[in-house]
Amino acid sequence: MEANPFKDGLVTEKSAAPCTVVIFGATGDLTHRKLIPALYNLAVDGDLPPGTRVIGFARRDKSDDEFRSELEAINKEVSRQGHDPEIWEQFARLIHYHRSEFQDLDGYTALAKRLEDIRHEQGTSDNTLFYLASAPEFFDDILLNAKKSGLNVPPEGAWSRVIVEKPFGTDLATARQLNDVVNDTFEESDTYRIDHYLGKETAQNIMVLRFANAIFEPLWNSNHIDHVQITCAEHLGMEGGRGGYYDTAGALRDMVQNHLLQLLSLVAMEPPVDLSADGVRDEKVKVLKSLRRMPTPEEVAQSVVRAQYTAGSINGETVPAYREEDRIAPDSHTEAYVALRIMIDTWRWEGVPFYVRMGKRLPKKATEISVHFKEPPNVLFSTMPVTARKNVLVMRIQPDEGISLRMLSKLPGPALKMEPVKMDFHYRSSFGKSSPEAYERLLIDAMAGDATLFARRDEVESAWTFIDDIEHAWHQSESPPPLAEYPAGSWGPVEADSLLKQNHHLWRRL
Amino acid sequence: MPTDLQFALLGQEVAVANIDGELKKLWEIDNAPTRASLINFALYSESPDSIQSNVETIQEITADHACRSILITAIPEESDSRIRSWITAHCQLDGNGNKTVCSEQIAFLVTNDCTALVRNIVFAHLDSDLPLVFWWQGDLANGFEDDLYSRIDRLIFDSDSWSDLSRGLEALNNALINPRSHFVGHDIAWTRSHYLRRAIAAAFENPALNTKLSSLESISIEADRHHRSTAILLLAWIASRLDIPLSPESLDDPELLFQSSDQGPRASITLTESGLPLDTLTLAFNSGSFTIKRLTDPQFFQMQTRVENFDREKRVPADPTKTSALIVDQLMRGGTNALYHNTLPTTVGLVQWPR
Repeated sequence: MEANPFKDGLVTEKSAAPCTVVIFGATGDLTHRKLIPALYNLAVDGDLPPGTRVIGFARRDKSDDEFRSELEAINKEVSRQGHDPEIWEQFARLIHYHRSEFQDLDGYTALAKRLEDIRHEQGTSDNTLFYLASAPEFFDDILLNAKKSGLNVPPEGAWSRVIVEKPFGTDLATARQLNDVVNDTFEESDTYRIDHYLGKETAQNIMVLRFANAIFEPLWNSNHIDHVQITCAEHLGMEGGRGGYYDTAGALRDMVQNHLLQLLSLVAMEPPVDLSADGVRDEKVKVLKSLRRMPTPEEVAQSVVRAQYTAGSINGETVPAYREEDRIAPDSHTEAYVALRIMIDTWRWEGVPFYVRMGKRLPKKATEISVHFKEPPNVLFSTMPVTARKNVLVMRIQPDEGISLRMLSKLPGPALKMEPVKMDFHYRSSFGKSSPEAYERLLIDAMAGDATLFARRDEVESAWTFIDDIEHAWHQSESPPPLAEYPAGSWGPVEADSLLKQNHHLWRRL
Repeated sequence: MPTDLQFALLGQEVAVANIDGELKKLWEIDNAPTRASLINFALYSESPDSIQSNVETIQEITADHACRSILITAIPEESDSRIRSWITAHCQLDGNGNKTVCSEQIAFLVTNDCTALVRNIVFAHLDSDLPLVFWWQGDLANGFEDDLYSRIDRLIFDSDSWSDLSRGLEALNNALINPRSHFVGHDIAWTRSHYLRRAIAAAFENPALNTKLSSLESISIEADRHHRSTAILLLAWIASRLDIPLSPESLDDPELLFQSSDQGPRASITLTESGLPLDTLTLAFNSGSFTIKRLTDPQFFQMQTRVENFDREKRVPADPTKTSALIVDQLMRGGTNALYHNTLPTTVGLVQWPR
């Protein structure tokens, strides 16, 4: 293809290429609530490349129009920029529905034919972006049939890429098996493992904060940082039938293995040589490979706390215990809360604990990273009573995205008294506009061939290597570490507090 | 001279020497909503009649870009020399009608030879460390001097409002090449075609259309007569992207004609009374054409591609027409505006007769 001279200089915009987006699992919640609204909002902003088409692939029988109507109804509810019937009408024309069982090869052959027809009739691009949005048990069938039907082989000059939704396996072995199947169908360079946390503005801002500001990086090491806390608190429990999946996964596999270890690696990584996808991911992998493993149940018991919530109340409403939730086994041993003390065996982070916690039915919804600096030399102000002496830099991932820095300040008045004060930066009030949804950013990145915000195979497998030790201790050892309890609406079990007290630390109060 | 009603829009009149103290009081009185500021936003105008529209524009900009705004209305021809000042705040309301985030505004009226003090007025009231965005309304003439623009980070201007585009570009270029200056220039006339240029770039990702560029025969633009510069800048962008050496053949309104020195495509700009900054752009090839046209609903362009077996229409978002929306968008994009600056030599070549 000839170079497009009009694109030169439009450097501030991602140059996403037009393509046909094929969504496997098109009748699921992810498609309805995230993917289609993301594509619609891209269309509203004019960021959806002209010529883009969407084909929903699922088992239920329905027409294009029925599919579009269902999508429209939900888009009206959830679209970030509201719902404009005129824009929707034009956008909906891009959407088609293809009915097939995931195991039925004929359905894929028919899809290939349909793609060809659409391209021929409408002159659309030959590029194809496959999105695995189905239940994970169908990933293998979809990938194998895509290969058998030749869907994975792009026409000359075009590309075929695949976006894989989490979970990327349930342990190292299944992750490797899934990765083998994916890589047997698509090149690793065409594989985009989506972790929507990486699409959040504040997650992307971690690198900017660290490497675009001269004041932080010189302090970003064990000489000045006492410890780091990464918290993902959810006030929700198992509403909406999510217990069925959650009880098979648990907090560690559902959130820590992917989202929270990704955040940790962004905080802990060395400066990449460049901002290319592999430049950044190379450094993240080094962090994941440096996580100190916990090969015995005793080591797991020393550094990890797991727990389930008992009945309690949140915002004045009574909520049931984890084992009484919908679709949860009454004798379940799945953790709804996990707290870890993670050590990173690198020069930079020697002796600095990274505390990571994730819990359901905590008092509020919040995800944040807090970097706790060491105290200054205890000479001048050591005798003064003060509630919090350490500087804390907080990166709020959601909600209320922003950054704050806690520091000590003299209280006004003749006496020399100090109190902590907070310098606070809020994305919303500073920039005035809401951030795009993570899926918008990630979809456009995949169309542009930019994999920076997607997980690479070795990242996923390195994370599972670390997590598997803990899972094995919990579920396969003869003397598994205990399962603690905490009342719903509290900030977790006392055992998690004790985990930090061993190092004279406290969980940050959110 | 502005009327009392116009002055009332500027807020509470205060003595220039007391501005800082009065601003503090303003925040103390108002139950301390969040005072937010990411930039200093100064606006200079020599049009007393524009006070109301400028206050409204600042109000709209602060909804997206928290700033300290400094509105200067200069009336050099006034017989008395004086400076008057006012303070107020523009606040966003939450769902319950409570003020949440507020941006403060300081307004000045300067007359006669006090207009020479504009630079000092601005410098004395900047929020320290924050970038200075300066919107200079009208010609880059009296008072637009290096002591001022050497302190500006982003200069906003509208070449559509210049009385002479060629002289305006020369003044801009002189400022840009001045070793003391470091500002990024943002021409609102250029911003008016941002979405249009993006839509064109996206359309020519299509190989069927892209391959036609080598057989381009003519470029036709229809634009409102008040947006002559917007049209010329768009033509300059196309010419520079396609490396077409265009020069003027006729610069008489309402039809501007341009010829290519290498027998390449010809170009024309037709100025209309449509009221829409850019109405239609047509690229005609030896077989087929590409047209992008603003629809009756001005929020959209309709792109029409007709080349050989390929015939398609598509609706894409159009550039806002309101100046405040254009500035909000531009501030959001930030950047070095390199494409505009790189296109300037071609623009100059379109409005100056070859020597």
